[in-house]
Amino acid sequence: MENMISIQNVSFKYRTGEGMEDVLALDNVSFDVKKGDFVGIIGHNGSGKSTIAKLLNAIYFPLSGDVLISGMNTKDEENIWKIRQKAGMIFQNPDNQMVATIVEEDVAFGPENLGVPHADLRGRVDEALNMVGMYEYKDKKPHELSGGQKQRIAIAGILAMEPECIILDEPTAMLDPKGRVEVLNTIKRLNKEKNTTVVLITHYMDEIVDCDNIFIMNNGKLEYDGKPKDVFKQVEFLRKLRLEPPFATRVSYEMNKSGINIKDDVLTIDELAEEICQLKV
Amino acid sequence: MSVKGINLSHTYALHSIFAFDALKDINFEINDGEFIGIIGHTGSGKSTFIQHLNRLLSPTAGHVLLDGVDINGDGIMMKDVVKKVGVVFQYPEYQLFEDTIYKDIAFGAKNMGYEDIEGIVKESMELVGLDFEYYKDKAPFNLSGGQKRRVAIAGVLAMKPSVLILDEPASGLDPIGREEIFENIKTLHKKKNLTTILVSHSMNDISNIADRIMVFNEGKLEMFDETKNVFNNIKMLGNIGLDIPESKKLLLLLKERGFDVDTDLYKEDDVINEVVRVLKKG
Ligand SMILES: Nc1ncnc2c1ncn2[C@@H]1O[C@H](COP(=O)(O)OP(=O)(O)OP(=O)(O)O)[C@@H](O)[C@H]1O
Ligand SMILES: Nc1ncnc2c1ncn2[C@@H]1O[C@H](COP(=O)(O)OP(=O)(O)OP(=O)(O)O)[C@@H](O)[C@H]1O
Ligand SMILES: [Mg+2]
Ligand SMILES: [Mg+2]
Repeated sequence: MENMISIQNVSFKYRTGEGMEDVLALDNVSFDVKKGDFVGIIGHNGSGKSTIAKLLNAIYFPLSGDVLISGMNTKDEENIWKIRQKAGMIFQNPDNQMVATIVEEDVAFGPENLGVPHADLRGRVDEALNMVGMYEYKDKKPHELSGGQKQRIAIAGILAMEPECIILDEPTAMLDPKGRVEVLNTIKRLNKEKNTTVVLITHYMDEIVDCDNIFIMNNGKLEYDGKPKDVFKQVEFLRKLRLEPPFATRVSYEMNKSGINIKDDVLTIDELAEEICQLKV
Repeated sequence: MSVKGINLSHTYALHSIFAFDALKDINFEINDGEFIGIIGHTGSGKSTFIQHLNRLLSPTAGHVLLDGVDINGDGIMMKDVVKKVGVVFQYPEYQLFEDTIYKDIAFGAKNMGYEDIEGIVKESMELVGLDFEYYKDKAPFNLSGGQKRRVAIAGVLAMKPSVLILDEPASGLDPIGREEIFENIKTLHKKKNLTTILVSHSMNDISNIADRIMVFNEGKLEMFDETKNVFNNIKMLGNIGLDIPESKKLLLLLKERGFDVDTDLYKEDDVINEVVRVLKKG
């Protein structure tokens, strides 16, 4: 299948000023994301996740290597606009992306810039606001919103652009439990129904238990990649990388340690409860 | 230090057509040395509430008392309040403004007039897991999201508050970083008998650490009770956009399937032990 994203031998350094050492944030990283896939990127603080996101969105450019979005190299200047249109990005910090003074204008900003005709704009903005449960807030000023409300607006802004690929950098960090579920379900639905490619950067492992592939970053390097079931059962390996598997996996790990034999790759508590029932017979 | 609220209300844009009641007649009492968790849906008033505890916002009605003294009363200076109540805000990365991490963390402590600033900065950095030598001369805005968060928390700890308030301190930290920061906060809380208030959307984190929980809903204090009792109100929590911890959900699932587990438990370690205990019993 066609690659939505292809990262080829990419290294990247931040310049931090005179007399200071440059930071090697990415060190020869290569991976591909197929069109329509849902992938997760995890890794310790400072491991390079956000840097990858910014390279995908052509905000930064590789020091060496190439980043291709739908086959378009981010280095070719004439591609930048098309790339940003194809790959919508939700940043780690929603405040950074509030541009307008009224919520609905903020959501309209992206699609308007894409040249979405005015007749369609209203519908797109309303639909996006509804998807994140913020329609009633459309006339509010961004600075009057709570942390989680801002985050939802930022997400709506990207949804309204209807990109082929969405890159989300810790989108649920400030959301309440219901909001988290809603946002995740919205993303999963877009992935299933519209075949939108999703790249989800997160510190919450339970958000990516059913994704297609997980990439683990460690000190600027791609340390490991694999399916959730293969990744999360490696409890000790993950801990060395400052990661923890989902709660259910941890429970099964502890059960095995105390002599109760149970599958070591359960990812959810429902699965775990079923497995425990099997033990009983 | 105890914290008390009497008929505390806050209306944003009072006396205008945009008036919005963010806090509605809140009454509560937090005892000296308690560990309080605060949960509530997005926009329920949590951040508005905690800003009243260090006087960043003043009640539009009602009172906030620290050890029995009204912090908005005559003759009380903002500085007196700030000295006692340290707040790590949501998105604290915006509070970083100095050109080195050392200076940033030292800033508040210096203003408090403390001696041995370097010792204090070192200790605070240790508490949040930042290596002193490696980070002290680096610029805060060159850090990753999670690293910035640690610097911001260290800056508040360096002010040696008697009441420590943390608004989503662990969001953006890697999983081990979360554990470490909560371990450190717990240790600090115990060692200094620090009254600690933690706002979080993570039912797991709150359940692992809080003695009692305040539940906010649309600006009202819906419930204020022991952690165990709050998480037994599953329906109510669901209705207001909240949830119970995964650990407790597992126990409920097992109970449904006929296992004799104690569903009052909620701390992750306790739950794991309980599951093992019941299965070993056979
Ligand atoms: N603007 C910058 N200038 C200099 N160094 C930077 C800058 N932004 C990030 N870095 C450094 O680059 C490395 C990778 O940072 P990045 O933001 O990609 O990490 P991350 O994996 O997203 O971390 P987090 O989970 O904390 O968000 C870190 O060591 C960080 O300190
Ligand atoms: N400066 C302001 N002016 C007007 N309304 C505001 C202002 N700040 C907050 N609000 C509103 O007050 C309500 C409570 O906001 P607050 O920030 O206290 O919520 P919160 O519980 O902290 O939410 P979150 O979990 O998303 O951080 C929200 O509906 C918000 O829109
Ligand atoms: Mg990041
Ligand atoms: Mg808040």
